[in-house]
Amino acid sequence: MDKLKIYLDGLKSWHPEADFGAMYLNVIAHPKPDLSYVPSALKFSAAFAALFVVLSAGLYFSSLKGSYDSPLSYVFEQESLSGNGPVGYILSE
Amino acid sequence: MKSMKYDFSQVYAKYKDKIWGLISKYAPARHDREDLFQEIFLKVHKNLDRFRGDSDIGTWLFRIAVNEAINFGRKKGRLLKLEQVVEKLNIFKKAQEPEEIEEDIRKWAPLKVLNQKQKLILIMAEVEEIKMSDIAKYMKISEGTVKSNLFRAKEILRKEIEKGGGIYG
Repeated sequence: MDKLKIYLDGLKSWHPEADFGAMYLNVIAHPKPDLSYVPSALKFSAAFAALFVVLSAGLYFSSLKGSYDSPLSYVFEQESLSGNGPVGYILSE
Repeated sequence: MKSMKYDFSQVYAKYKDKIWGLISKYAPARHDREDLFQEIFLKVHKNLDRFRGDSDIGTWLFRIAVNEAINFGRKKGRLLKLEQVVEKLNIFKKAQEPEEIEEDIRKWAPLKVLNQKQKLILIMAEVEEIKMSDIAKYMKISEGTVKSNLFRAKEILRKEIEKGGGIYG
């Protein structure tokens, strides 16, 4: 008889015992993730886009004035003096 | 699209024996087979609510089992390589585990020459007698690929068994 077949028959006949009850309890003891709080990819993208629009609009209409206390405001002021709005670079692209 | 709700306890009751049969041959050491079995059903338990019925529940479950088994085998392989390095360095003397004696590791040794995919296909097809078309579905590969992998696995295994001089089986 083919040695491979004898070998595979040997594996086939091996049936180790299992404590299915204990393993079932171990599995269900793990908490399931609460899916209601997991945003879908679409919801997540929409929320991100809305946040971007709100922040961009806020920045655009903020009419930032320069302050030497804030390097960023200074940059905005210099850009404004050169005729560039805070989001000018983004909108001109 | 069908939308069905499945009860985990019923799914577990229906598939536990089939999954155990497959897993116990794929990862024969007691702690391995128990860990892997529980990892599979843990994933099923966590994702059952999200199962939309696109495929048969059995196919979905076996796909999880196949993925988990291959990942488990790869992780285990890396761990074994690390153990071999440690053994070579002779830092720790590894004691033989009682369960290795109990389960006669010689029986499982030839399978180690196969890669994880070949090993799983061989066990599914030749030991668990799962149909080629089902194995193809579970592994998301073509039936032709299943057959060629199985053929190759059997050739490798045959050579390995002959090399072993009849100590296996």
